[in-house]
Amino acid sequence: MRIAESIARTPIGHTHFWERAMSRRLFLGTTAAAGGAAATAAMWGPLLVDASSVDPTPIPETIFPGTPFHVQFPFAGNELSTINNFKGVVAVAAIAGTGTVMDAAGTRSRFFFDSDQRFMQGTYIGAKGQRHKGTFGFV
Amino acid sequence: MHQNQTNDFDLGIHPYPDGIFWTVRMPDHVAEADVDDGTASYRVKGLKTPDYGSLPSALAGGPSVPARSSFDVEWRGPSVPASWSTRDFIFSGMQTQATISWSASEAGATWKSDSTGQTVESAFVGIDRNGVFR
Repeated sequence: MRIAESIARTPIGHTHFWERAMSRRLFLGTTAAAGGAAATAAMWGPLLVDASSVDPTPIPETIFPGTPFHVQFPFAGNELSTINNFKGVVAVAAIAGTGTVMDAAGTRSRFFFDSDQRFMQGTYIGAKGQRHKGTFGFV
Repeated sequence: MHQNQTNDFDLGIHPYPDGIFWTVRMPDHVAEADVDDGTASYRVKGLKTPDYGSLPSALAGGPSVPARSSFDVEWRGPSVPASWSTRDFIFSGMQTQATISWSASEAGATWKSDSTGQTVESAFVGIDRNGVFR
């Protein structure tokens, strides 16, 4: 769920946040930042990999070539699931709208939001190669 | 949006950066679907969704503050068949309409969506087969 500041100060269009915010340039720039974290993550790899035998594995596709993020835009023609070796129901809803935020003092203001909500429910092969059933939510 | 973005609630990447993206296991009862009708629901209360502040920060594995989100997504309305495939996956289902009602809270602020004026940019319900199930 992505929130933009006050409607009064920030008029924006109706193109989805994936298109507005997730440019290839952003992803590639973020990938450079992620490189350091990836090196760190490698040090902790055994601990993370051993987290659970029922953990799913990510789809092979990435948002853009050369980036590490295993997700695709929520549009026709793309892989809508985020987990691999999966068969089952996938539902995707990318919705933009408005709302009200209230701070601790009780002051209310308006905002824009973009959301990409998905769920996957079915059978999958876990990280250790065994078949499982489950429901996964994407937020 | 990111230039003016103030908050970014998502489920993180596990393990970062090339693991499962913004996805966590949930109880089966939170979601149900009728693929033939193109209808579905996805209802969650009090889900831990850290606020990374912005999408670039989230993608960079940046710092976050604790936050929780609740939402009710409903897929229904006029629908048409939709299917596509690649060598890696097959999707077959319906393109339809959807609505969302959501709220989020963190220290010092509470957000609530409007029920009107929403723009649906993408809504699909279907069967996906990928990997070894392709």
